[in-house]
Amino acid sequence: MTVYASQDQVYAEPILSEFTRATGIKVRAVYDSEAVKTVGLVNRLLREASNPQCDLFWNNEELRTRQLAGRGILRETNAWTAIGYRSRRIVINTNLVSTARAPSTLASLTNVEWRGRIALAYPLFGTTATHFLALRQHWGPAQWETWCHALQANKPLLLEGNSTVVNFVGRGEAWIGLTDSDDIAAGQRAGLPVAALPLNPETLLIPNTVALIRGSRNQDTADELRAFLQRPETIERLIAAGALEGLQAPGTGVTTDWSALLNDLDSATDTLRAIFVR
Amino acid sequence: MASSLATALAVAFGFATALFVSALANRAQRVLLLAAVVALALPPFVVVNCWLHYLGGTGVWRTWLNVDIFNVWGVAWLMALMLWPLTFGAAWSAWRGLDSAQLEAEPALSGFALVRWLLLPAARNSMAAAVVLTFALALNQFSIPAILQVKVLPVEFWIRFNTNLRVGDALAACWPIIVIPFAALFLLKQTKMRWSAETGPANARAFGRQLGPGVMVFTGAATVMVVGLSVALPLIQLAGAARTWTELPQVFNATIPVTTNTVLFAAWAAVLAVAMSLPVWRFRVAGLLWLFFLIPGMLLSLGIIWLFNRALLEVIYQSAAVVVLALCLRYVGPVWALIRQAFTSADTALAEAARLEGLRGWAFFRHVYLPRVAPVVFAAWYMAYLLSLWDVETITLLYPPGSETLALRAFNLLHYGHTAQVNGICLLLIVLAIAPALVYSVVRPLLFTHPLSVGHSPTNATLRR
Repeated sequence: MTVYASQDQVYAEPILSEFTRATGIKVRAVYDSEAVKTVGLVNRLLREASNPQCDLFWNNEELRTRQLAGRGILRETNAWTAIGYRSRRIVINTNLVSTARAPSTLASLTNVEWRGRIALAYPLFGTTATHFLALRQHWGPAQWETWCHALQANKPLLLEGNSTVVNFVGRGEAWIGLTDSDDIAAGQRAGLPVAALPLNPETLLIPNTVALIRGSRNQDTADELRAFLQRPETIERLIAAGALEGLQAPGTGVTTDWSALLNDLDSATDTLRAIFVR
Repeated sequence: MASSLATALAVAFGFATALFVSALANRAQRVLLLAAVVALALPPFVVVNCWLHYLGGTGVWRTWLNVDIFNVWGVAWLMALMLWPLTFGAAWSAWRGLDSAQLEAEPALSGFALVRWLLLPAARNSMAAAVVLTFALALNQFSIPAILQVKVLPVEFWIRFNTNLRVGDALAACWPIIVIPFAALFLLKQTKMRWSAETGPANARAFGRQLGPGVMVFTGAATVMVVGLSVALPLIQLAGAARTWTELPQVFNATIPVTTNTVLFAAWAAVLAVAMSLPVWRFRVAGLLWLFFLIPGMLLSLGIIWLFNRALLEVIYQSAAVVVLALCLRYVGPVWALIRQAFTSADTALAEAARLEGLRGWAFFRHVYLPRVAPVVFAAWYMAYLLSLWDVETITLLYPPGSETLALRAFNLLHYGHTAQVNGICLLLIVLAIAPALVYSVVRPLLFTHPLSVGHSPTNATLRR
């Protein structure tokens, strides 16, 4: 069977190998490339819709899976499942900022104290974009736009990706950053002096998603793999590796109306593009 | 603006370097040619990471050199340091065909006057083509502006493409990146690139003498600066990290299948590009092949998906053949141009003489064309091979399971922050980039006879032998 995996290769490959050992089913995987901002596979699934090559899409976030479902790329029923979660966090350089002094809310990032010392990925891509769009629902468009303007006025470093944010914060080029929990964990494993601030009501939780492709050739084996990925043991392995943060989503974080978010995607992205001019 | 600035800087760097190198002895020329190949073969993120190390927010040079590279100038500077070899190669090869009489006919024509009235006109056509190529490559460059936070069209294109996943909307918003390749194609048709297959009678000493000490000192300093900053600095940073070397054996062992893919895909794509170009070198319409090179690589891959992802052609689409085909199509335009130039610049008088002597078929090709065309065919193959080694943009939407390349692996590891492993991969790729040139320099004298000339007309019997 063929799997397209936007979950990072270092995490996904051992799990897929274990599935092959357990079931004897050979998995041929294509992993997403950071060169195309991790939506290469989503675009590929769209272009291959007339003759699907992929049986199962393992995504490390939710928005794109919902977009694919909306475009009719996934099975009609029981199309996708969320597994585990990671989260969007504020990361600090522990040599430069104490936990007590660190900003506890996203609104605090607009304080002049942090001018030029904040790093985040360009908010038109990836989970940063999704977080910003979810905050728009959480706060309402007017408050959100004011916050975006204030954040931009604080001269943040807009970087190419979330791992870069952690590296910049770890090296002290920025003092605080907004990034994904798995990237912070990777930074800590690499010995960077970084720490994540606790979850709060503005946190976005990001589950992995496992989606089945409409018209694929190996539907039964795809079902088997989905069941394998949903097992608590598999999720625990992903948590231990740092790919996921937890099994069950905690009762905090922004609540997202995904249908509304997808409807507003173009207009909200235009607003973001206008505000965060580089 | 970033692309225009980068092109202007790259042309200036390449031109100055070519002037200096043309006046050096053969061995020194070969060393600097190798440096140019390395500069062109270095991956963008290695170059950017190197400069961030020195001039980033907390860069080690920032205490004494307060230069901000997070702007258009920074982007142009880095792109120029990567793209100068194009102008260098164009000008250097054009001047190789000069006759010493042209250099020494007028003793007063020296220094900047020589550059103004002889060297610049002699290299004008080749350099025009190099300018177009440089601009097209700079315009399509994504990673450097993205890392340095400069808003350019390719970044905008990706934003739109990634936001709503509609290619048409993205293209409509970023139409210049489609229109400009067509304009570039038109300009290329008006120019005639020269790639000399052999050294002309002008020798390096005469070249240097006529240039004069002033120009030599100026261009020498420029060459040291350009080669130092574009080649030595990134390599020192790459090789200077102890972990690069400790990780290298592990990287090599872990990436043997990926390394094999990389070499095979690049080599076969280049072979295929040469094989496609050879039969059509006479046809000007084949110049349309340039479009595959000038449009964004992602568009090419979308076209290939559309064409090959269907029942009849699935055997290609599901195999590594689709990667080879994509790389071949991407780089066949420049390969065709070089091969066409080599054939059209072959000595027509010699060809006539050989025909009069009764030479036909393979004997004709071997004695008249092969010695002159073979080096250019190799150069064309090598160029396609080098470009394919680092290609990510063209194949990232296409590669089937198990067909990952080192460039793709490097990008992904970079995302995880595994800098030492990425450095190891970069070293591996540099070795793979240089290897064919080294092999060729050893094998060439054994394979090819010295080209014939009309003044040294052989007997019929000699030719047949």
